Amino acid sequence: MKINKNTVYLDNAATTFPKPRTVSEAVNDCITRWCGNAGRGAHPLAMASAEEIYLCREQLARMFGGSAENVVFTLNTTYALNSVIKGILKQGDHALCSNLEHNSVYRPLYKLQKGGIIEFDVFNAFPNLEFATPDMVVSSIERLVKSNTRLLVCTHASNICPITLPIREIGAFCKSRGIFFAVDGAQSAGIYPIDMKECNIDALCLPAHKGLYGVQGCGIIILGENMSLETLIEGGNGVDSLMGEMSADSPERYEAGTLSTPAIAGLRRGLEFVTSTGIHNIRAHEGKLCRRAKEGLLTIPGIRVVAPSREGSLVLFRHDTIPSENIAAELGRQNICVRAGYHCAALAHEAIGTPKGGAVRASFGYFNSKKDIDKFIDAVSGIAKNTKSF
Amino acid sequence: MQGSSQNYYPHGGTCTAVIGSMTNAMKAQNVLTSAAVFATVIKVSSVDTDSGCAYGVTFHCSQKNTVRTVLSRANIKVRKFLG
Repeated sequence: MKINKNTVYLDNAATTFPKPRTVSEAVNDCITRWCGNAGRGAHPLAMASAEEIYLCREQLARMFGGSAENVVFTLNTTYALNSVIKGILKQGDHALCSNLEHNSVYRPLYKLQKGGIIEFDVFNAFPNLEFATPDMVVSSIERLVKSNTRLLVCTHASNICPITLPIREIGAFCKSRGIFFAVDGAQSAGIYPIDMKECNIDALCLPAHKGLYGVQGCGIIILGENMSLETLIEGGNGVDSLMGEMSADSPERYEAGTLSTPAIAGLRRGLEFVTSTGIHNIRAHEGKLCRRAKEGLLTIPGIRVVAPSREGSLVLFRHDTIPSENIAAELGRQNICVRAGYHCAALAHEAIGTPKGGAVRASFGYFNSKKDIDKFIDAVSGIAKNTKSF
Repeated sequence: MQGSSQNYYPHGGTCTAVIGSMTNAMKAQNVLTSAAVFATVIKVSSVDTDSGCAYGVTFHCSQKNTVRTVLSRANIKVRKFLG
């Protein structure tokens, strides 16, 4: 399989590709001209790196309604979610998550429960697969709340089907009950507006490399005002080096070790790209592509589309007889990139009733075109006509 | 990208507010600049800190009261003032 100008990339839920040219230029500029280690010295490269990182914190704070000093950089969203979940929950606590969660939420909770530290319950994020009101979702949460419910963590947008959760209403409910509200914005950042203050979000976890069009190797936690976590990792952070304890100052308290300065430099340009393009324009473009893909898939005999009436940036489908991995493999041979299987979201696939073998996900980005979708549909149509070959 | 680098003792009318983390020092600089106080982020000498590495901002000592007020209003804790 060769990557060339004819490659159709439809795996943007995994990572967006390509990136805006300014992002790659910024990464290159960083590593060739000024990349020092921020907060480790006071020489020109260290200070230049510190300034760039601070500016990125400010941009993220502006975009999501937080404060720069509460913007924490991590390795990725999984690390961010683990930091929040394990940093908040204590022995005897109860937690809630939705039935659409990625393993980055489900697995830390599972491990804590298995270790006898906490208990957690799963609420139904979509009482009806095709339609659900915010009240319906909040009701499904309310039924599970206990006196020791300390944390509710949920995704904003599913990574396998075009379902978004009503985080504003969930946040209001959590606030009324004194429950820490953490949101996994991996699939929604840069596509849907997220305002932490309006939605009463106490911790927002994001990736640099998906809808924010940065590069891999950087995740983000944005903490709400006056929120504090137990640290997951301890080590050098350039502050109070003589102390055995991590400094109390956020964000350095949560940033042991060297940050990925090149990734943060790239993220800055990614954020500028998203802001200048407009989140609503990005969402509208991806929505159009998604509708085109769905409409095309629905015409192909044997293809089943999950939640066809829902709008979003991805489509999940399977064939009645051809295994999903075979479909993805053949598409790959035709230089069309999709992902098949369970998408690191066992809970979600179980909730929507995906049969054994998983399903195929095509996820769209700003740099996809109608031509990409038409090529994809033609290819799936061709595969579906040759069931015996696959 | 200027990358101003400073690491010196307060002298000649320059005072230092010891803040702690680089992030909070940069926030302090921004806040002071908005209040028309010229401030520069520096790495404070370890001799002047109790716990090791820390960053702070330098400013003209005549503006010490303003700095104290502005940083307090911005909820930026100052560990100590030098100079």
